[in-house]
Amino acid sequence: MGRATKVILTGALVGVASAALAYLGAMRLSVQKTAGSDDLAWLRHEFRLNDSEMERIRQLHEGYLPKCREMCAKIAAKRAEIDEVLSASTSAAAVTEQKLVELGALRAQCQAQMLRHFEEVSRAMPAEQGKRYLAEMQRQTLGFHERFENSMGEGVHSGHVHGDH
Amino acid sequence: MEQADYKLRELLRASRPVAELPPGFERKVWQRIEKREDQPGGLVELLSRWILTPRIAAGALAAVMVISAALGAARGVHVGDQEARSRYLASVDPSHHQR
Repeated sequence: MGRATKVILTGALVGVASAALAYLGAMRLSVQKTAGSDDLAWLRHEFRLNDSEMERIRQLHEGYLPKCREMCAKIAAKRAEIDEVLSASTSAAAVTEQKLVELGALRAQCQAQMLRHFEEVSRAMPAEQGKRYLAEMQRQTLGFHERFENSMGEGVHSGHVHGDH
Repeated sequence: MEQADYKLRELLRASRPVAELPPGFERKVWQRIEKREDQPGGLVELLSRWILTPRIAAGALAAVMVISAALGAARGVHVGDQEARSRYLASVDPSHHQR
């Protein structure tokens, strides 16, 4: 290998290492700055909210969290009850069904409560941004369940019919 | 004896004539050497000479670092935004993390 080739290879190595260092360093700083440590940072940035709007939304958010936790605890307790009934050797189908209905009702309550919270938050925003927020939240949360249920429907058309197996 | 040595030396000198160097011979040799050094020796040679030129090397390195940092920052804004969005969604919808 000639001297000129060695110089070029060393130069390329230094260049690539410097580029990688600059890219990763800048990316890390940028992620930290954009993501922040606040759960609501995304709302301020995405919906261009001012301080007073953020203050109101923070109050709503902090008021919602205990209710959400309480609902999660109820759902978890109901799931535990169902597991207990299923694991019992003398489990009655009627009891299990009743528990499943109760679990479904709790999930529906949880979703309804979440939707109410989204509506309250959207009202604390400027009209246009509030509309966009509500649509985005419905798509991201309730929309997921709809997509999941729609995919069950696709299964029917593709020959996967409940009761066939 | 000394007479014979003298005659022999004269004879040897006569048989090997010393040629005179043309005028400016040494200067011309140096000029040719310098000219050869100035000539580009292909792309590899040229590139290596650029890399070894501090001004060019520093400029190229600075440009590479600025471009890389700009690309990294742009990517970081996107990733950070996704992270912040995901964190908010997880705070209002506990099932978000399970997807």
